[in-house]
Amino acid sequence: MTGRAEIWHDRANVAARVMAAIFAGYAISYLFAGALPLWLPIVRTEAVLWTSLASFVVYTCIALYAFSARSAWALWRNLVVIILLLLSAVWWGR
Amino acid sequence: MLSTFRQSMTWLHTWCGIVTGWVLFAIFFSGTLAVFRHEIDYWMMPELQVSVSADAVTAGQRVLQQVAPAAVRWMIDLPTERAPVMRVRWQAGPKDRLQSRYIDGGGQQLSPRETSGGSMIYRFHYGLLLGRTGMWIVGGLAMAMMVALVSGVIIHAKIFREFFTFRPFRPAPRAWLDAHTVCSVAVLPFSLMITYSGLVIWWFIWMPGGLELAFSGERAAVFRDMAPPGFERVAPSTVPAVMADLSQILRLATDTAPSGLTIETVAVANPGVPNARVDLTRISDDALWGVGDRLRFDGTSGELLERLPERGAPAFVTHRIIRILHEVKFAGPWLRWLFFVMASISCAMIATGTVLWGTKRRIKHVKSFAAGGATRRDALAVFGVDAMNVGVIGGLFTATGVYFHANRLLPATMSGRADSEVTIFFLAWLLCGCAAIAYLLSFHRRFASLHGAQSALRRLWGLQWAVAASVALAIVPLDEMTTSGISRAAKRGDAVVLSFHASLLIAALAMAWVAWMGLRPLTMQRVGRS
Repeated sequence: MTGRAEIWHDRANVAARVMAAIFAGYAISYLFAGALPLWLPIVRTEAVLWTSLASFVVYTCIALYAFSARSAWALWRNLVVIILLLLSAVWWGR
Repeated sequence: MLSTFRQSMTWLHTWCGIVTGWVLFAIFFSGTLAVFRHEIDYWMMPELQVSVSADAVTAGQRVLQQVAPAAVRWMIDLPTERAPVMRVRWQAGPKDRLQSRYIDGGGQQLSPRETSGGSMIYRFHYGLLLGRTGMWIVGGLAMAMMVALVSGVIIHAKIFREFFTFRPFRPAPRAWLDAHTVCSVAVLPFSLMITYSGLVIWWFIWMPGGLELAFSGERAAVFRDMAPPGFERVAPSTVPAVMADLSQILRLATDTAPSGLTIETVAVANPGVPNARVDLTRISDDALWGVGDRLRFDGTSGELLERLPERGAPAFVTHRIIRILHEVKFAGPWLRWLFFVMASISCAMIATGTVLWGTKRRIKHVKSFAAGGATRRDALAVFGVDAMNVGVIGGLFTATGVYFHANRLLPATMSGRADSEVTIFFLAWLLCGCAAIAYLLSFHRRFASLHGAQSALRRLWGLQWAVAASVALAIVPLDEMTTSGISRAAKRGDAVVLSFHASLLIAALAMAWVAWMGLRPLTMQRVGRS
């Protein structure tokens, strides 16, 4: 691998993680705040508030994970799986 | 991402901090001042600094009876320790907007100068004065702050030992790192609390997943559920009636309450008809989060009709407490000052972080200069960040001082005055940034070596702090000359105005001391060590 290719590889790696942290992280926290209340056995409005308060912690954790995961591929695979799980939780819960 | 978890976190912490550092500093700085935004509002409207009546509610009722006898709603804002002013507000018809008027102790109308006030600083804090877009930017930056804080904690596993490690006389990056660590560790719980609470205050704007997915976006219904229980609305009758004495009602509410209690506003629905209702919110001073209750009185007979204790599901109460903690809404003066000091240290944490990065970068890059010395372009490329640190961080202090000057110097009757104040604030800030860059470009030769660069930057910081200190110091005589602010405050024992000036003097002295540190000639020994 030439030096130039390595630089581009590094940049793509960082870009993939930044995207994962910002966008996949937001999608997961958003879906987390929306999906969990559908399944929690407490009053809906209260459940929404609890999960919304917690969603910011979720977002933080995803961001840290995005920059500590071994490979960007594995990172995106896992995040997509989580998004699909949450999406189906919304789908079946509604 | 890198070979170990801690290395990855260091990388994340550094970049997260650099990309967001300057705007985050501005947000924290304005948030720190916003702790005292009502006091700043009060200082910026010197026309209101007159004596208020001890029986404010009677004066307010008399004025409203004259000005708006047929209104559907009255509100009388009582003077508080933080803002000893009286204001009446009324709503003429059910669809009309609230109108308001400041009054003095005798009920005479006061016309304060048009100003953006401390409220501008508060609005800048949550939305950079850019509306919804600005709120999203602030939300994103708060999220980055959260990530930077948590990753910062992970980097510094030996956090308590490092707190007692401060080596101010070691070479620059070490000393700045220590300063950054000391600031961060000292207020870590505070900065975590303030960042998290700042994020969740407006969860429904930034993270509306729950609203949109679990409720199909029926926002109004959700908020109705979440709001604390309120009183029923009563349709007004059309027969005129004589109102009860509001001061008696207020006394009744105060006498039956436990000690330490605040009532900020007396609200009257349907004034002047038989089914007038007087609603009061009593907030206890004992609890930081303002536990209280609400009382409803009959507006004509003055009898207590209903009492609503503060209650709500745990989730709502939790959110309420988080919000009130962030806004230090009901804190007494000491707690308010404690918040101010901790917020200032958080500002220092951000500032030392960006300066630290500049310092490290400088050492790495200055070696790349050719033997001939630094050209303008080299200097800008390597030291642009340092100059912007000076312009953004130091410049914000100067610009805030200039904003206060504008409040006193612009003609009181000028149209568009409030907006001009804000324009002047931003121009002053911009000018500080430009001045820092101009300094860098015109003295580019001094930046050729690390020693030269360090003494030139030291001088630039010194100059910037000297300007900021002079601007702050000049506000005190300026207030006296334009509105006789100090002599009036001294005569009336106006604690708010006097504390405002005392704080300015302390800030000016602190900045002058830092300026002197930067501008004094260095002894050889000191140069050798730094």
